[in-house]
Amino acid sequence: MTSRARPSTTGADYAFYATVALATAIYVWLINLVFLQVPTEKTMGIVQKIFYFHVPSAYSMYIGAAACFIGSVMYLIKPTDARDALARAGAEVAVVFGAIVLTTGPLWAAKAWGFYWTWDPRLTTALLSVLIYVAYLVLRGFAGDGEGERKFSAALGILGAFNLPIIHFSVQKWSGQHPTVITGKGGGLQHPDMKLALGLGFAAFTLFAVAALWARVRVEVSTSRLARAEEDAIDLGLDDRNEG
Amino acid sequence: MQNNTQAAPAESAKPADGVTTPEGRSTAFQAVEGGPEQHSGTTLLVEAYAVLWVILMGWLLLVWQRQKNVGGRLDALEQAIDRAAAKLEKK
Repeated sequence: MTSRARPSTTGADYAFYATVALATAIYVWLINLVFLQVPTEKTMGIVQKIFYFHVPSAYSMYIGAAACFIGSVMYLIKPTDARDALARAGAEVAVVFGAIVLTTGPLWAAKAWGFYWTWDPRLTTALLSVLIYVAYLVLRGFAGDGEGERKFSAALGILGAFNLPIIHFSVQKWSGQHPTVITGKGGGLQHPDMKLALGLGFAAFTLFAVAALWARVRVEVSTSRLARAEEDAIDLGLDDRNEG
Repeated sequence: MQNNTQAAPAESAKPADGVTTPEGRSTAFQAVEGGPEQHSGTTLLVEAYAVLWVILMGWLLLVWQRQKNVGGRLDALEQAIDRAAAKLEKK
């Protein structure tokens, strides 16, 4: 029987654990701040507190989409498993945080606007963007993992990134109902605790998105290596599972 | 401006005991602007917070399933290698 050594803990592992620990600590601080310390907003009331999770989630969606874009471009330049894994992990992170944005936003809107959804430019472009990354994942999930599928997905990953600036500038260009509190002509956050809560939200969600990307890339790279090892085993006649 | 126009049954259709007749019931729905609160801000905040966690936990389960699948394939490959090694030892 062949003995196999367990992989030792590396510097990368410690960096990952530190990222997760820091994200958790900041998140705990954020929850405490949002629910116990930050003042309630004058006109919208307590529902405004969704803002401290909604906006950082949108930012994390951008991080995932940017990772998908970078991985896709790099893969088309020089195909490697790691680059494809980065693109795939990025698309997944974009979908997860996009789903959070598209559910927390309407819950806020139900109170602030009186309805859950409207075909506002920012809402519509955000939905379109999430659907592009859903299409990416569906393609990767059902169309196999060959070179052609990977390249086609990379093209889709690049296409998805072009929609991101449109989401961001849609409010300025086409107006609509979506508020612009932080950027542009928005009035900003009036209370220092509100600013701190949003800052912590950005920090916690950014660290979480980075950790999630990291973990997913590792799993995807391992899966690709495993698939290659399985093929090699079959070629060498080692894998006799199909033999009678 | 409040447009508080709830459909009122016709006076002639209202019997003396106060019970409305079929003819007196409203036949049209009219909107009321600025009506009572439809959504509680607290409930919506809790729902948003719950949704956030449900999505993240659902994703975590998916990642776990994928990792489990990779682990299963790795076990099978290791067993195949072990069987091949055992065959070589017999020879």
